[in-house]
Amino acid sequence: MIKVIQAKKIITMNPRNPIATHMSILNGKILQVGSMEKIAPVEKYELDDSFKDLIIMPGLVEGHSHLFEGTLWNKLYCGYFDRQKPDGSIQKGTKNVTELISNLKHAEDKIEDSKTALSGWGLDPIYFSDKNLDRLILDKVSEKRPIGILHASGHKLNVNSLGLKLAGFLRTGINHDGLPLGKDGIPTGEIRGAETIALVTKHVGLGKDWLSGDAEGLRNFGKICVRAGVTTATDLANLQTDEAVEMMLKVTSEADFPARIVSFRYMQGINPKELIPKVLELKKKSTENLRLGSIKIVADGSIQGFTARLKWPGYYNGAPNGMWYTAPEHIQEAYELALENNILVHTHTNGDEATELALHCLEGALAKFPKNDHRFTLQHCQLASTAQFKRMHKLGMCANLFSNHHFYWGDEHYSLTVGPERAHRMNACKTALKEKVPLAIHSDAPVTPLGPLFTAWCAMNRLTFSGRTLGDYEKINKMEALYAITLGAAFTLKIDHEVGSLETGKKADCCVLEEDPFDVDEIKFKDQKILGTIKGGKPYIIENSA
Amino acid sequence: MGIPLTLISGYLGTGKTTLINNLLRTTKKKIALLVNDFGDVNIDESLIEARTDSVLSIAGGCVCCSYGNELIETLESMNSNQILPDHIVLEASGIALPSKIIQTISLMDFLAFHGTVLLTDASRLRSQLNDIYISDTISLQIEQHDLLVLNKTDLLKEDELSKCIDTLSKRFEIRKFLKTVNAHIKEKDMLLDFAPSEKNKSDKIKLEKKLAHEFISSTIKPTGTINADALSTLLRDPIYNIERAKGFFKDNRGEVFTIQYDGLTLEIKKTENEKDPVFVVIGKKNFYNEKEFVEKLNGIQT
Repeated sequence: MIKVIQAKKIITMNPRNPIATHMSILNGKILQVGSMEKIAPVEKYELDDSFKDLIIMPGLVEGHSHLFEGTLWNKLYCGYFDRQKPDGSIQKGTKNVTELISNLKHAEDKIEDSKTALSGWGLDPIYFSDKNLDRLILDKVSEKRPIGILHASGHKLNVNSLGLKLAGFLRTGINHDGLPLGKDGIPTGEIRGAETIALVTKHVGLGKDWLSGDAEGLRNFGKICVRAGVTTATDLANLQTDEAVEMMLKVTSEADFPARIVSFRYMQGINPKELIPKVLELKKKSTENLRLGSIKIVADGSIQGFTARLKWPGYYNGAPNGMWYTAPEHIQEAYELALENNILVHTHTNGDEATELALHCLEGALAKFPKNDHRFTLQHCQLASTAQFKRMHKLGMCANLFSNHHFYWGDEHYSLTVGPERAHRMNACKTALKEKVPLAIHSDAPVTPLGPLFTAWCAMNRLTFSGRTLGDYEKINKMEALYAITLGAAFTLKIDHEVGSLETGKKADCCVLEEDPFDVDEIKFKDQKILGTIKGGKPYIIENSA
Repeated sequence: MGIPLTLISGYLGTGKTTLINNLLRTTKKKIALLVNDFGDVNIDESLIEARTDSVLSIAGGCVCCSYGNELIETLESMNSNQILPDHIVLEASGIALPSKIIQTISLMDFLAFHGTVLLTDASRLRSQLNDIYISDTISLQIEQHDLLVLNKTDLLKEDELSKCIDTLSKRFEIRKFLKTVNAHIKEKDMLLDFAPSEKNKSDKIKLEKKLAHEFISSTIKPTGTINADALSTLLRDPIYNIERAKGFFKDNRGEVFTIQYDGLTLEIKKTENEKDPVFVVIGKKNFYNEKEFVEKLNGIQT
């Protein structure tokens, strides 16, 4: 039966029909949007007026996130900022070492088995004022139970003495960049770098099984999406093993799973020639709720980790340039094969040299396989210059910029990584739009929390944690920001014909708000109350909204 | 003491997998092989199936500076399962830096790192060293070799090859050097322990050397006798990179021989002249492996 949803205001993001009050829905898709008089169905229909005092807009589209945002929550959150759990409650931020110890002790009391490891994530000790974290401090929580806490960046881990001992590193004679030593010549318990961390994680409850094939984590991710007003989210780097794909197909088809997932096959440990047929096979498995068949390539590392590839003059503090994460030849080959086989590719480029390389590779690939509307997208693309945005436009590329970065790491970019001038141009949303590059903005959850309205706030205000405005010129306006988190992101995923605006024929995917975002002051944009989402006409209302 | 491990490194397309296939084809050792499956050439599976007793495991996964812990897991499980190979050969991904991998290996006390065999593609090396995107990666890789292999030398004309070698000798401090075609390297040269040894210093040979125009020449005055065949093998061994040799020596019957070697043809002829044994050996700076050559020469003297 046709369902008609009534709202105080429906913001459609369709300029021909921008504002409405009613929307008729059949089989999960929109029949019409308008006033009741205009859209009243001839046949019998059911009216849902539960939104009559609320605002409805298109379901938000997160163009760069990772499903394990949902899985992390089975370990203790130790981050600096308050963060909402999948159940809606707020986990308070950890502001200093004393609080960290007390939170860990509290969590430790709840573990019954005496040998089970105590594990946490999200640690951000750069904000700690009191002291440096080492194994002896974590020993105060427990000496009998291994303890391990991953940092927010994912590139550092702190363990207690027992954790270090189980890994075989509680000894002298170690000479390794990833294991800094204390005055006693024994590692301090801070573990740096993915490969070193990998030697320790399984001893502190953070082993490989923690994040793989976890159905409960995906269900949690769905809950987080509802709270963020998101109805479509990317899973931007998944190895897509048979097991993982089966699990995702199963969970996303569950009757009450509230989001659509676009999962990209991560090009790692496989050469492009072997990858393409796999991705073409995966594409066939796509459903309404799980889109497969695209490729993610990681070209370089991160700017704050000094592993991104920068053009001259490199890092502001003189750190050596980062290394390639994927060989340039493989990027070129993957682009060629993807163009030939009509596969969408998103490429992580943080530094401007990585962006330059991606442009160079795509230029070469397009010369061999000319193609319109490929929508190859640069993800993060944080340091791109105006000249690079111009080239992106000419080559038909899109940009998904990391606006949240300014808030969390902007002060460090200013003083340490790239210096004032380049910090001002990072994530240059305005320039991208000016140069006609299709734009999306993202959270990279769980690197920063999932929340497109917060991301929009970041792109409009460009404020850092300390309150500095980074790059006034690159601010975008509210309409541009709202576009970037709906149709803009949908365009980069080649699903803008299905989602991103509310108009006839598209999916009835909505975000439900208390206030009209056009009435909300830009500086308060992140504080808007989200009441839930509608996916395919089915409402998901947050019960205990804080 | 641990299981010896040799790292095979080098940029994409330098012949790492070909080198490993060559090794698998001929080795008598029980070798555990860890490869990354990123390359365009695959490990010849027929070699593995045919030699299931000797090749222990193949693990996928990219062994590079920032990603992948399959390597570590495979190494650890190998250790915990008590599967002890004679030697572990690890093929790094084309963009990996040997130093990063070696550091991680150093944390595993059941492994004894033997050295990095670093391959380069002679036909592309000079352009790669000028490439804006990859020159720094390739330079860092070359700096971190124990044995530097200039592969695919057949693709270059003689003058191009010498330019390529000039570039290498000017830009890098070279420890050991080999020129190869189709990545053909003797197993003993490849799986050698490159760690600096404190072993027997020579006193059987008096050595005078001088450096001129980027060449090193060693004047060798053997006090004992030398077998002609053994000396011939030694001078021709590509691992020492000897360019010229000339002089006299005595064999164990007291007969005197002349040597003439121009890098290609070696002539050892009996002579009636009663000369004191002395000969000169010449090689390019950074390439001629004087120390080991002299050590080996001591070994064959009686």
